[in-house]
Amino acid sequence: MKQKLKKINSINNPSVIKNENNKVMVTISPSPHSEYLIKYTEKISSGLKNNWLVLYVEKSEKLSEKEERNLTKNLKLARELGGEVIITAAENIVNGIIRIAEKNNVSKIIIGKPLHRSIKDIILGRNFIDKLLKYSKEINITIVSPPKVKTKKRGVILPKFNLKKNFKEYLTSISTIFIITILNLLLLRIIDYWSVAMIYLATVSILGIFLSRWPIVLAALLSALIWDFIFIPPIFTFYIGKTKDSFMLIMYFFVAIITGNLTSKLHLKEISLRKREKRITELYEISNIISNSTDIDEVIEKSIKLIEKTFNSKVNIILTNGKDTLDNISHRLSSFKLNNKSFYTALWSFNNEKNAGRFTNILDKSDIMFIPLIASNNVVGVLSVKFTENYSLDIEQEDLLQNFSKQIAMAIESDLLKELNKKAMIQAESEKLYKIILNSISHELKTPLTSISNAANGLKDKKMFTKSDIRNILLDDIIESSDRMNRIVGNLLDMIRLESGKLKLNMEWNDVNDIISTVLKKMNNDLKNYKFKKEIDKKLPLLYADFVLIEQVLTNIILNAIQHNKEGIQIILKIFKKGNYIYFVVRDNGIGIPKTEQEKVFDKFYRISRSKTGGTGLGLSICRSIIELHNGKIYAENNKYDGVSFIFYLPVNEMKIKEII
Amino acid sequence: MKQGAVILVIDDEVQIRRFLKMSLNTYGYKVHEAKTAEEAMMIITSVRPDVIILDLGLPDMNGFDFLKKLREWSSIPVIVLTVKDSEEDKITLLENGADDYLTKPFSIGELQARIKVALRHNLKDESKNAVFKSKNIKIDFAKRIVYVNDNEVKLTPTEYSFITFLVKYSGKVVTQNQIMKELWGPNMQDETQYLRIYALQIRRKIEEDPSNPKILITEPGVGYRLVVE
Repeated sequence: MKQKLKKINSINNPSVIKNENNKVMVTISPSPHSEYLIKYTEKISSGLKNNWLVLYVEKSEKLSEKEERNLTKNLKLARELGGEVIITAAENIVNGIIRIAEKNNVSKIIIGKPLHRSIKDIILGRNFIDKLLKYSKEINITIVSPPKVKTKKRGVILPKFNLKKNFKEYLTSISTIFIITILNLLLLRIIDYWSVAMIYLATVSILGIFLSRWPIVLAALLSALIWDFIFIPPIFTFYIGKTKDSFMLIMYFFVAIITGNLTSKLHLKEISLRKREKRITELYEISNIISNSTDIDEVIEKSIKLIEKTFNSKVNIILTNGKDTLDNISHRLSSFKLNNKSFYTALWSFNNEKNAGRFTNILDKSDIMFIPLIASNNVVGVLSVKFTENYSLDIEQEDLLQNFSKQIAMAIESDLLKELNKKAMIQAESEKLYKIILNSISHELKTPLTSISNAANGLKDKKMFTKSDIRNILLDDIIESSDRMNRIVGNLLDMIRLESGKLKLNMEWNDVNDIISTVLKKMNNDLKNYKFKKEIDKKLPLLYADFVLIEQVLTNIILNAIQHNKEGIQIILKIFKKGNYIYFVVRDNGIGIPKTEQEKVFDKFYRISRSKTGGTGLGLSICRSIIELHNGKIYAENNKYDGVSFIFYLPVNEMKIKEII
Repeated sequence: MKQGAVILVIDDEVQIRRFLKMSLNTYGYKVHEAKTAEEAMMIITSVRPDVIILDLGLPDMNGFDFLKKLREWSSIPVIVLTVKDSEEDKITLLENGADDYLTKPFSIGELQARIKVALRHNLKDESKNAVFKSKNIKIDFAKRIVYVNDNEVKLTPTEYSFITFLVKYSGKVVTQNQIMKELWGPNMQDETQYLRIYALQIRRKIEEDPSNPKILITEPGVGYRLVVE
């Protein structure tokens, strides 16, 4: 909601219209200054209808714990304020920044004014800003000077010295060189001192895989010195006899350092690539779940499992289910229930569209992390993750979790929308049907009612009553009209019963002749103006069907023939057995039905435009429902020369005859 | 057939009562009316009608219960007024004391026919007669021979029992269950196909046009009726 308003407001701001692709990116680091930079960027981009990026370039060197924490804090802030966080790995920061900037169509990069330069930079005369400016091409660079912040050191920073960790590496470095030295001494009988150098070189390369920069340098240096001292003649002195040996020593040293560094870099790159690959796989997994699931419950079930596996946690989901606020009950697939306090925290998270709980700044005493499930426009629920006690959530994992929740949110939103759509469609359909029925009933019943009323009034008139021919006509009108109303009401009731599924079939073995004679008796009057003929097979088996319903079907079909054809038309009823079915054919030689309408006539309320009198249009659709309930089929086809045939067939069931005593 | 027979019409709707009274009076019957079951009971005990026409939708008691109560002490024939598509109800009524039924809306002709049938002397009288005659059928009970157009017709024992059972009801409808019970005992209740087969065979033998029976009539969903004149 809030975001919507924000968007609307910014549209009305004329200054926005100019800049369409105006993305801003700020680069941050574990430094506390980044906080200022992030806030600054947010301020300037909210006026410009931007989504703004926050970039952190990972280097191969590991961060200290304090730095990790700071970094995490900064990234969280960035997210909370609405920035899009990107983390990339690069050895060269400038390259990394430019690469990401170009990829994301960034038009402006914001960086903080560097407070200090590392020794290496000073030695090599590098200036970070200069480099950035050099390679930035068309991207604008804004350098922001943060306000006075307390920092311990200013000026030059010394290389970081993590005592514990590095100590282990230095120790490894030294001890390996010594072991190799002993090996070399043993091999001295077979090889000469130049080959020994190769062995040292190989060792340093291999060490590069396991150690970081400075321990490698130490290994290179140490191995060079030992090589000089022990192996280069004159042995056991540092003095080098031949010039070529001095040259070798210097070359060796350089090659060792370079190779060592290279392997180290390569190894780190491999690690970072693998990490990236893992992230991508994890992201892919959740996309996969969503696109392969058939319904939303499956999505939720699999997502919960994935999160629980990836983060070694327990997951709870509460949804809105389309309402304006969270449901009282958690989703049934959740692994744990929220107590009152947790529920209120979740609710807070929902209302404020912000993460809360563990690993956040808000209400962080909880052991659960609450993430609002925000889809494109709405919050559809809250994801609550209960981590194990000792769990620490690093930046990448948090990123991943955030991504998961967004995807889940979107899947849920899509499902909700589908449901709404379905409901709307059903509503529209039933309203349509309702209207049709109302129209049908009122029109269809009004006509005969009017006839009856008129006729009855006519009969009250003395003059008209005494004339017997008039009297008879009026009386016939009344009878005919009431018959018609009876039929219409009957049809409507049948349709309702068929639609609601409440029709119980009263299946029995029947003599087809019975059904026919009942039908004909009832229709005697209607058929008097038509040429009716019946051709019924003498050897028909008994028919297993609902007597009354089949009677209905035949009545409706014959009535249909009468209603659509002028008097004098021939109507033939043919009944015969063919294969495993009994066929019923009502054939007339009247007008026939256009081919396009032959299927449609069986639709509810369908009436051919040329029909003589009214009729609700239900008759044939009821026939179809009944025949289909009997596992039969009904259809219409035009005869070769004239008229139409309505044909239906019913299966012949096997009758079990027991021996009768 | 009796002229001047007394008929009791039990229906809570004034229009139906009026209509029935008018039509039956025209045909020479004396008609009493009752609006409720209670009223009906009083009239039955005081007046002793020959036939009762009963509508099922009474305000104070439903038709089934009324019939049950009535049949505890009276065998006055009862014709029930029913609506379409209530075959189950019709069967239950017929097996619980009703003699016949009329489906609304009905014509005066139908009503007349039913009343005539109801007024016939019931089963005891009929079977005492040695011979039964209706249309072109003649049944000689003593000799157990059936004649159609004065020609002897061979009926199997079952077919004979079928016809004579219906004769006992002299024109009233008989449910399938009742027939089957009579012919085969209580264990064959679901095997209606046999009835159909037998009816078909009988029709082939005694009807002029078996596909358009005029004597042995099927009452759809309910049972059979033998038309008597």
